[in-house]
Amino acid sequence: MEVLEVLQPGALTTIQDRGRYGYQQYGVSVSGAMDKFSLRVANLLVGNDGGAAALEITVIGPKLKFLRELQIAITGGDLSPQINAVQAPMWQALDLKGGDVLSFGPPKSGCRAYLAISGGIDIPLIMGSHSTHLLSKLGGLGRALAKGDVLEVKESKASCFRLNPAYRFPPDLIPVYGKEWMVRVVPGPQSDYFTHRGIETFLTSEYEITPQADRMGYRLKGPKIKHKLGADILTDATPPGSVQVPGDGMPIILLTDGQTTGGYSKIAVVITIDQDRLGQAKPGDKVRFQKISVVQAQRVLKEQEDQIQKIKRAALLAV
Amino acid sequence: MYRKARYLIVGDKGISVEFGNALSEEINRQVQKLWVSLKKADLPGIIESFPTIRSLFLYYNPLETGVKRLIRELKFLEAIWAEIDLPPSRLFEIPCLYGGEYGPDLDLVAGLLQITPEEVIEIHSGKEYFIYDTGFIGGSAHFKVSPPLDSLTRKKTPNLGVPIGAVLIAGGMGSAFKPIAGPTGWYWIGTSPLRQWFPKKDPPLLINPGDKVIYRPVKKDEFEEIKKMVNESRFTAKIREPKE
Repeated sequence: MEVLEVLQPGALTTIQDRGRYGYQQYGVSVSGAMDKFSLRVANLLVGNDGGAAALEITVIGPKLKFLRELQIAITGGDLSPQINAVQAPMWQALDLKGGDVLSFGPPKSGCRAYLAISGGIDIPLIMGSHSTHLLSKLGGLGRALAKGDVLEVKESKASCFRLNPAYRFPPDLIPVYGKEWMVRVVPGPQSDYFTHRGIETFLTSEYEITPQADRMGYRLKGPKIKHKLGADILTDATPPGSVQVPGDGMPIILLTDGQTTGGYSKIAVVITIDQDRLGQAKPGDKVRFQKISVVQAQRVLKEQEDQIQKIKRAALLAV
Repeated sequence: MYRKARYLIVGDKGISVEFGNALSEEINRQVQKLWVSLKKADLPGIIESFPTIRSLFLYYNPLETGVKRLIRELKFLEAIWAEIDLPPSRLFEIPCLYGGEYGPDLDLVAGLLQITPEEVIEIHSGKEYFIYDTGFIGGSAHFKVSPPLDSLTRKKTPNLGVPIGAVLIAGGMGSAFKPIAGPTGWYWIGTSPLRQWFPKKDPPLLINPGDKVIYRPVKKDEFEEIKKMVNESRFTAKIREPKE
């Protein structure tokens, strides 16, 4: 069922879901939304499964014409969404009719907005996911959205839930995105490649996100992190969140489209929920790192999951 | 090889079981054995696992299992995986057009090693290689090269773009042939007409960890002929009986 036509594609608008798992052994990146929390909430707000395919919109949003009556929700970064040139609220379901035009203005906060459509975007699963991996042209449309693309949603609502019409997303759960980020990391797996001073530099300094920042990862600049024996290791796994430090001492945070393996020593790994937050960070923003234990990291992940399940129970009525 | 495997914490969802810190078939076989036994054991909470050169990486769901519990279960598996036999390797023959515009770094490599380009080809194509892992992007199949090719470090200035099929060496390793075009810091010595990456097939790769490869030098006309057949999906990669 055709639901929208792309009038203007925006800077980088792609189809994403919660990611592609089980294929890293074939060199296939996890991919999926950079900010998976916002993607899941957007989906729940329109009665979709949290992992349904939605649009990830980067900095400069697209102009989309809707072709029939449906519901949408926009979460994540505030890129000034407008419906028929009137400012549209975020973090709630919006009823649209055929002919309505969604456009975006100047970015106000964050970097990436998520647009979920009731029913979920209908696009074939590739290796178990709808997500677009740009470098390998895998999944989604195999590329970013282009002018003239027409997207469809699933006809059957069988897999969906019924929305609770009285539900309002709690305002205190709406994230606030600034320009300074405290990012929690679990040390390792190659802490032993760095001097004590090098680790201290990493944990006490401010780093700036350089313009070399995309879905694969962010290059940072700031005080140089010193290695003990050299920067290179025998290549091993580089899951999303890995903080690699090459020979120049400047950290690189690998993110959701990053390669599956790499040969630079990793000083730490960003915890899962802060990878989502980093999805809202932009070049020029400042990053500081804070060490936490793996047990603490898993506790905060569990707390976030409980929060999402609570939203789900409140927003949706069982079919 | 370490006397005891190291269990490295990789963020809040990953564990790396590291068996050593060397490019060694013995170490990599341990990695692959643990991989096979882990897949058989089907432990709760594991999302996926895959081998790298000297470690097995596990990606797990911390909402379903805990890091301590998982390490305990992995240590329990240690007794089993030592007994496991890996399936016999399939030996893939890789046609390769060396040098010229199909391997622009061949002369550079020969110069660095102070041997002739013909000797580089002879050494590179004269050995069966065991595949350690298929990581990076699109499943590059990696193996260990033999002396003197193993003395090459990475290039100082990366190649900004090598095509699908580029045959690469650097840092003691070889990449069978590039699955996807892209930049690389490795030396580009030849090109194979074969394809490694089939995103709609399961498994999506021609060559997988535990397989072996051997190169067969080909001339331009045979390269073009095979490439045409590959493009029309009429070519089946030749699998030989391993000698080594």
